[in-house]
Amino acid sequence: MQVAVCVKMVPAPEQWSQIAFRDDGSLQREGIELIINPVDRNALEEALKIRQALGGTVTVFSMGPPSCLERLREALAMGADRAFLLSDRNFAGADTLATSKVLAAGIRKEMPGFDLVLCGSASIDSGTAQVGPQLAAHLGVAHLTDAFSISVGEQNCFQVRTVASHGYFITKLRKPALISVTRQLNKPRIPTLFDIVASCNKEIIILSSADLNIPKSESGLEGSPTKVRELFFPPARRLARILEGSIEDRVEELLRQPGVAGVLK
Amino acid sequence: MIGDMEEKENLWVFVEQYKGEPKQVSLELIAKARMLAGKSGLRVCAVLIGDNVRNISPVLINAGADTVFLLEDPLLRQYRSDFYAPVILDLIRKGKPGAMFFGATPAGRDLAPAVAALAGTGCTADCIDLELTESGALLQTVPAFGGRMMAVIVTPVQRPQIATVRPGVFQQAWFPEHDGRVVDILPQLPPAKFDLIEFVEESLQPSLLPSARVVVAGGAGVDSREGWELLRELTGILQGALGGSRPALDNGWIEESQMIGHSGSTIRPDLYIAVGISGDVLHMVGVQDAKVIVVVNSDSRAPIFSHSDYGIVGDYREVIPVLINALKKKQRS
Ligand SMILES: Cc1cc2nc3c(=O)[nH]c(=O)nc-3n(C[C@H](O)[C@H](O)[C@H](O)COP(=O)(O)OP(=O)(O)OC[C@H]3O[C@@H](n4cnc5c(N)ncnc54)[C@H](O)[C@@H]3O)c2cc1C
Ligand SMILES: Nc1ncnc2c1ncn2[C@@H]1O[C@H](COP(=O)(O)O)[C@@H](O)[C@H]1O
Repeated sequence: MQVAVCVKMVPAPEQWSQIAFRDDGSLQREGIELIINPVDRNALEEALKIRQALGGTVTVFSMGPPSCLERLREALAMGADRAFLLSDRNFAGADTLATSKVLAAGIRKEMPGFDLVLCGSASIDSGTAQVGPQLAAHLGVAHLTDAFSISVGEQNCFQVRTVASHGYFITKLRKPALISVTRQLNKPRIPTLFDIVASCNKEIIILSSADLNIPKSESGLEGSPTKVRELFFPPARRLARILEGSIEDRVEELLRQPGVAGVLK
Repeated sequence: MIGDMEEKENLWVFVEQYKGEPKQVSLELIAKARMLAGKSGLRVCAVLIGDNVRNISPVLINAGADTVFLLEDPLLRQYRSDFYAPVILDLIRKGKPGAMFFGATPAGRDLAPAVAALAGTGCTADCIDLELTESGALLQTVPAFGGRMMAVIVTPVQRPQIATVRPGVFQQAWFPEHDGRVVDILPQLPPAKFDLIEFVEESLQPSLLPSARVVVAGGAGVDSREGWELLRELTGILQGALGGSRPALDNGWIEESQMIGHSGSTIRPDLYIAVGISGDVLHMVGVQDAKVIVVVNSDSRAPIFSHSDYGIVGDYREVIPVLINALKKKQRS
């Protein structure tokens, strides 16, 4: 079974408050530590389990700046066979469509015979949950999202349980296909020191837009149909009145305010 | 039938239905589309897909739709991406809408990006506001990176402009006099890409939050069983619903369905009382439409005070019992 796993590097949430905005509205994130998007570890864990059961390979794909390299090592230490970093100045500023196009190009070039692509359900920084379904559309394969159980059934079909509004679906999915996964799916392994040392022999290959043969107009900011038109701080439209006095006085005053008293009647 | 509207960049809404009932969020989106269309002459078109769902059409028209595109087939009874996405793509190519809205439900979040990718257009997730300029540009407001700011996203060139919106962000409206028509469309189904074996219904406890007039919510600052008991008592006296922030969920004090904010419920109560919540944007986007916001927080610098109407700086363990007593006294009198 040839499994591709898409892993996104995101700024560590503890450091989000340090992210500044440049004058042009873009984000200044130099020096911010990157981590593997948490649920993408679950996707990788599932791929490793499938390999354990059926043999095959696990290949990680990530699109991002060169600073992602270090974290890709961690994916290799967890057990991935190979990792590709799709990195190019042209890829910067990508929306989900442009991101999924680059990922699709990487997978098509390096893993044309893939059986399964696994993604996380959503990333914590943008959290759109769009890259998975869009990648499947570009690859021309079926997709299921928010899987909380995957088993490999007869004839290499996958039996997948996915979250729905009023319950869950059980689906028989033929390969090749794409599945996005939730954190309920499994518990990702933590690489040991030995794993980390052993992973140093494994390759991380950087692919540029020339390697992937993607024109500038099809990737990054230029290839993104959506554009950020404006960034703003949400306007304050509340009274923002701090009540004063003893606790009893403040509570009494609160209960006299029109918007509050009216509701309590 | 669709062709005669091609010159207009109409507003389309994907209608999600379950067992012959339209999802509330679909009705909310139709009402919003109706508002956006205003006097522009744009039509609001509801895209209704399912099996034997014709009887939903009048509801959609009353909710504000001018046209209902009805696509029926036994195989479309339940949502599935391998049929729904290509069928909608086909319809988009014929009808050329200016914008299309999807509810950010599990199905909508699965479908909208796939449709957008197939159509080669943009998709903006979890909009908290939509606006239409005179030139037909859709201004899509989303909480920006880290939630500290808002971003306005546009799709300048490609059409349709696709957006998803969470349930409860917009309000449903009723137009009993409104006239509309139903256009039957024969869906061309592609070969199946997977087999739905079973749908297992799990009646999740429906959350009372979205409809409650009063909501009391606790955050990371309420960190004990006694604290949550106090909030529960307060909620009971006010006949409201109890909710919380993400840490309240993470710490096991509330259920998933009680979490308020960007990744939880959006609520619009008459009165929202936030206790031990700091006021992060990712929480506040869920309550921005509350009529009145009251805050109890021990840190006078907590950002939530500037996003609220009345603030009491103090320890909830001292403030809430006084509030409970005052309310009880009021009720007795
Ligand atoms: C992708 C993503 C999505 C998210 N979605 C959501 C969401 O939907 N909803 C959500 O809520 N959060 C969400 N969050 C988390 C959000 O960013 C904040 O971390 C969270 O809202 C903070 O919750 P809080 O205010 O309860 O906790 P804190 O920020 O820790 O604030 C606790 C407050 O309690 C006060 N306090 C402490 N002790 C007392 C006391 N004795 N009496 C009174 N006050 C006291 C403190 O002064 C402080 O202001 C999301 C985060 C991410 C990354
Ligand atoms: N730049 C990226 N590189 C690799 N995978 C990505 C990237 N962006 C998104 N993904 C994958 O798509 C999933 C959903 O991301 P998002 O659409 O950003 O919420 C993530 O969990 C990843 O598996």
